Amino acid sequence: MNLPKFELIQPNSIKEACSLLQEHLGKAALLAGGTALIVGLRYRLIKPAVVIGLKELSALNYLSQTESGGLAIGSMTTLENLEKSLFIMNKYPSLVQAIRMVAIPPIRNKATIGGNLCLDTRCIYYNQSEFWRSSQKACFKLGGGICHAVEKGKHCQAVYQGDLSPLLIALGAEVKIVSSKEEKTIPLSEFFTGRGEKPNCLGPEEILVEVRIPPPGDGVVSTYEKLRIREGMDFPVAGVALMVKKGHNGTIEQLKMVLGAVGSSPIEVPKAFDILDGQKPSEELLQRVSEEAMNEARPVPNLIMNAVYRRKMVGVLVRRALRKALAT
Amino acid sequence: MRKIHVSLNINGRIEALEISPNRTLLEVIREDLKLTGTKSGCEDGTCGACTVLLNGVPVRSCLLLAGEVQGQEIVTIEGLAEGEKLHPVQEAFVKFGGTQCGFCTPGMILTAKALLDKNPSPTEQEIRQAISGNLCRCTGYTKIVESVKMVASQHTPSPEKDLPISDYSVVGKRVPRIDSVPKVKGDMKYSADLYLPGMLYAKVLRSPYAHARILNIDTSRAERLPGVRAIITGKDALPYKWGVFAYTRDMQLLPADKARFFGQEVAAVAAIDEEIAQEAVDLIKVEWEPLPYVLDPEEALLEGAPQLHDDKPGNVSVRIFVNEGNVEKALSESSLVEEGRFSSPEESYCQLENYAVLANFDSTGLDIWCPNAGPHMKARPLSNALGIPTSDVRVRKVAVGGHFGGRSEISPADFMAALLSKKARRPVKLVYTREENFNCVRQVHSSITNCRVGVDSEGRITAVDMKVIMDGGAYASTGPIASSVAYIMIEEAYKFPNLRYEAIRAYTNKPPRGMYPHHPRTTYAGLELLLDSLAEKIGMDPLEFRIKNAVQEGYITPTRTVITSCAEVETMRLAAERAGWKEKRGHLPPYRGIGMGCSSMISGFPMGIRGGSAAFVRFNEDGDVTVISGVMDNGQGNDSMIAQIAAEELGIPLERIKVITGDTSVTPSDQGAYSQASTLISGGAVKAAAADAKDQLLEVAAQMLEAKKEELVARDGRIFVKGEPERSIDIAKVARTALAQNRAILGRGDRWPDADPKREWIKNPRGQIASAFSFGTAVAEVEVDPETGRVKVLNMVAAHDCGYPINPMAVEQQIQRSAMEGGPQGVLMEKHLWTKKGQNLNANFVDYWFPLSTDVPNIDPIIVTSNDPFGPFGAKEGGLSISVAMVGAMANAVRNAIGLMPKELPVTPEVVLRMLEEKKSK
Repeated sequence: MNLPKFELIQPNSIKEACSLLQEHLGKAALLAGGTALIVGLRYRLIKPAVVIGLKELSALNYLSQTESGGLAIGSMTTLENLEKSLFIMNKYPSLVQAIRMVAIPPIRNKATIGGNLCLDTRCIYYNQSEFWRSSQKACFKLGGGICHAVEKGKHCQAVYQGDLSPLLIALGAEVKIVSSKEEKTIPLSEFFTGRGEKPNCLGPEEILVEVRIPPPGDGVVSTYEKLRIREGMDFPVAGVALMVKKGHNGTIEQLKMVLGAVGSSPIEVPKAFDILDGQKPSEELLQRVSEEAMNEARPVPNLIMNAVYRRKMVGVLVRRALRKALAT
Repeated sequence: MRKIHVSLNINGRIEALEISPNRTLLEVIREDLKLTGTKSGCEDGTCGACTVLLNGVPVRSCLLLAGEVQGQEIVTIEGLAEGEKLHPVQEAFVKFGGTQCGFCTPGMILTAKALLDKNPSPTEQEIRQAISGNLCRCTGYTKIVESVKMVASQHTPSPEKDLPISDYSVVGKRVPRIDSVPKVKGDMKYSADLYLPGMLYAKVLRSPYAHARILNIDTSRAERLPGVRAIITGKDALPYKWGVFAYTRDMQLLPADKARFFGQEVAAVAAIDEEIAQEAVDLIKVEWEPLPYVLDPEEALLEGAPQLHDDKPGNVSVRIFVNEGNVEKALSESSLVEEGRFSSPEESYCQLENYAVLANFDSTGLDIWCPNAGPHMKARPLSNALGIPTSDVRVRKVAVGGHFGGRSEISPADFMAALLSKKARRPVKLVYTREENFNCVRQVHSSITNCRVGVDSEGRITAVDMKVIMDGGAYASTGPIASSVAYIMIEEAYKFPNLRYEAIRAYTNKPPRGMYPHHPRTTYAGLELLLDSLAEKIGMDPLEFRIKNAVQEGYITPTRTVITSCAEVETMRLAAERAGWKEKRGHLPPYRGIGMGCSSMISGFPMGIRGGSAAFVRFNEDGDVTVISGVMDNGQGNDSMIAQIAAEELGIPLERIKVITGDTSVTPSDQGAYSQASTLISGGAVKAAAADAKDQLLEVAAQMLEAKKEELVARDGRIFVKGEPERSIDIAKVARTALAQNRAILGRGDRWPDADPKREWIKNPRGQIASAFSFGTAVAEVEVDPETGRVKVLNMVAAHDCGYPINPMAVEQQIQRSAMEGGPQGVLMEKHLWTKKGQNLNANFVDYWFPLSTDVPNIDPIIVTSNDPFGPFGAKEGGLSISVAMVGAMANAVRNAIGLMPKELPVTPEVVLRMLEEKKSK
């Protein structure tokens, strides 16, 4: 199946890319690694008139230490380059661990961190060929008024299955977004909208150019647990990322927990810290936290893997992630 | 759309092209540059067949625009070898069996090369990780991993395992297949790789309903589209209906009346390119009358269910009923009876090659290239459907990227391409998408099995009572065979005097289902699970229990088949020993389990006038030999198998044999590569033809050597007088002398199964079904995560009695692929889900859980010999029994790990967890 027709423009600067977006407002798609976009084009999930290829923009391909000792990553940096960075391996080992669970090696050779964060939500009733979809009524995500996954659903509940954002949110990452008009930096957690139709707040004139991760605090441990069927390739069917700081006496001083792939955005679980704040973690407390997390999860039957099972697995992953992090 | 100029650096050459900006690198490589070694298997980045190296790094060429890789260094498989000199990775894949059908091979080799460039001595885990994005259906990944290891370590694989010493010089040897070199170089041509001058491209319009009457099809707007050359609908088709049997003719290859499943073809267009063909398809207007439909086989059998075929009341496609002995009496007198209900959804074949056809219809008739398992089986229905003599249909030889039972029959794609070509008077190529290859070729039956088994106090099986409901989809396909194989495999694997078996194959509004090695999986899993449970309850080790109930040579099954050569017990003992059965069964830690399964496999079945094979052997003037046989090679190695047999029989080196196979314009009839009879029957025919040619040759040699013909032997390219090694002559010289005497050396031979021609699947399920039977035992070891329910496979061992291995490496490959098919695919992972409208929800490799190299452990193959008296050099079927045996082994391993009988297949994590929770709540 051929790709739909489009113009390919490859700007040489971020400024040029921004003005192209402005010029073709709402009719252009940004091409980063292409590992998701080309599939979306092939399935006619998007039909842009113009594809703006960002690969010439070496200005977006970098890794650098920030003044505060954190990390700044250009959005066009490939996952493979992040995976083999010794700096990241030393300072954010959980990020390398999470990247190694993304798809398969040849995909990581092309996929970029910006593209990964901008992944669209997925649904087995949506990620289908045009012919397949055409014989169903248009769903919310396609601009229609029905949800095929959830009977009497009132809005789109397609699932956000990015592997990296739950962890990056737990690490306190921010993203820098530019357009012809402005430049802004927002917490990654605010980047996500929670809407299945469009999971992030990136405007049609905007480009995500940088991911900034603050320096890991002393004694802080982070981890990512992913559930998938196969040892590779699969998107997560549930995921848990967390960042935790343990005091000298073994009590928990800081905790941020984020769930992945059980809702239309990464889901933060603030109650996890409420329960564990100042506590020495016990199996009973872990159980309470995992129950809170399961309550926060919003899996619906829109993946091949059963939704009830996915919710249960959130509890398992939470306990595993906590045990692992606390044992470190 | 404006075209763009691109300049690509491919294999060290600069290619300047003008292309549309929406062209992917894959399309440009294959279609513009005709570098067809790079394959297209999914177009969504999941299969890895399109892998190329970009600046030394493996990437998916289907996910890159050609316009965005200018100036970067691109290497395709064609750029790897230096002329005739293979790259070490290619060499290793040839030598150690890393390639079978060859479709995944180019991508696999490039990925491996990139790994080794970066890491010259990777661990097994690193190799499996690196290739985890390259799907392979033919190897179980084991020999691919071994090949990569061999490049790294330069040592040879484990020594030949226990092959009996023989006098043979070619058969029984672990030699590279004759087609491995073109496969590793990317030279092998599959149907989609072919181009003819003036060729058109076809696209198909498919039904958006599971069941709907076609009231009218308006093609007028499509016909006006510039570039369109032909459009066909059911009105262009003859009323002919296809059926494997005269009594199962129910499928018009392009239906005129109604569509019976979502995705069924209703019209097709040929145009000057694919984009225009698709645009034209979108312009065709069909007036539909949606009809009530049924998707569940049990509902389909209820009174009042929507009917698919007017002449098949009650939606019964096939009913098989076998009742031998007295099952009720035997069960009531048994010491112990176990029963269970087992269910499973559909599986898919997932051949890496998507279905593709090239057809050229001109005044001389039809030439057609398409994936097939027997060209003669396609020629006949094509001639009927097109209304032309069978001899005017020339099904041509082409490489096939996997089969597994799914390429057995005529495909509507063959017919559509042929009819479009007839109408347009131009060659037409039709290439299916991955979605079409899931839904519009064939699928694997879903099933529900109710099974009862009894044993006596000594641990002997007394009776098997099985009732199976199979979802056959919309058409009969190979239904009578598919519905019968389960009881045949079972009664030929275990001794029991009483058998009752009923299989009802129901029509539903889903894609039609064909043959598959281990279907219906619920029968094999169900029986083997019940056997383990019975063995335990009567206090017998499951291995001893199976040995006690195994069949032997001379045993007569309930349906009156006499078992010939048989080493079943040996497969049981050897597999158990290699897997550490005695040390492990009952002694593993919690949530670890080990299980065993056994099966037989028939080598062929009665097929009337099409059941035999014939061959010619021709000596050429240089003393080289051409073997001509109707056998088809789909990746299992049949071409090599007949070459080895001919070389051995003729006494000449393998490299002097050329084969011409699977071409109806040249090769004699053959039963086809789907009844597991290729070695036994086709190989037997080649051996007979070679013996005939040798006899003619020896006559000439006898004059030249002044000896009696009976005193002569041929070996290593020379003819010797027995016992006098100095009196010998070069075979080439003899062949030339024969020509000088005006004699052409042409051998002919044929072979027919020694089976009861009166045996019939439905009407007469009694009598000798085949001339030989293979046997296999599989052992699997697993670990279950009790919190997530995930099953990790730790070890798989499989022992198979193949009679005698013509090529031990090829037999091992077949054992290994069968093990992956039965275990990880069949028991643990693969299934389809459907919408309420009958749409397949996971017709892609993202959501259909095809096991990766990281999901499968090293698979340990054991070859067992039994020297079959009927088979060529003692050989019979090579490896398929393991697909069935591993279903039982894996199911039993899970049962052993969790102490519960899985009754729902596949045993996915959610199924395991549900079982564990139910146990806890009790």
